[in-house]
Amino acid sequence: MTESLVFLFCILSVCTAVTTCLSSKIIRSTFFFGVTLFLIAFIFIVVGSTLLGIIQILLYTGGTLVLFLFSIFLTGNWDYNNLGETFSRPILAITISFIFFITLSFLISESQTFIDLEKNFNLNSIASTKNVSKSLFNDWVFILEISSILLLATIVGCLTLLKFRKEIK
Amino acid sequence: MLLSKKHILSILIGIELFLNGINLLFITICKAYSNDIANIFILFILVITACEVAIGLAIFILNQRINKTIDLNNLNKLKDI
Repeated sequence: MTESLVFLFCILSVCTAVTTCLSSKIIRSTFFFGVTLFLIAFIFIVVGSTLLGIIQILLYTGGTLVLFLFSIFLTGNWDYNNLGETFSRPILAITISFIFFITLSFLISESQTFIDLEKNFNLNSIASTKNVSKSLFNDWVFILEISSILLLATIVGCLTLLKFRKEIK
Repeated sequence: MLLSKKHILSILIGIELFLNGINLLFITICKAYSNDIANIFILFILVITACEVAIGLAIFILNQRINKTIDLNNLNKLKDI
């Protein structure tokens, strides 16, 4: 049952991600991007990482996706026809992404980690929130502090960037 | 999407999808080795992604305010402010 759900959500998330890339309108692209994020959150929840799934929904759907929507609405009067709506270099992009995909697939399939992964894969193991938080606040507390400083720097940076109102003639 | 689109929002969405793919790889490794370190890595990736999107959208809004355009090619004019 779990495997079927994960497989279904993976297929759906790949489809919605492809639709995100191929959508002609930026608002449709954002909508499908939101659906992709929801599906990835469901994958996290189904495989037992409930904490990550909830954080994914809260952070992306409550934060990032709303930021995207606000940006679109704030700049909604502009003519998008010559910008993001069309692919500027489709053949180059497809070629580079295909080469990247082939290289990555080859490297992953040849690595020892992937062979171990196939042997030990267990979808039923549940990542305990208690263990995650214990590890986060003991072994990884320094990185956690750096992340909090990074978030603070982001807030200050955004405020500094957006305080400029001068227009260039 | 990163290479072929000129709109900054499309590029940011492309980066987000890229990082979500990495998150899925991490959760797969987490399930294979039955440890929680990958969960912590995913948390940090989520933080970095949120920061990147916030800064990117701030630059986008700034470009729209100052240059009165959303064209990515005009971003270099922001250095004059």
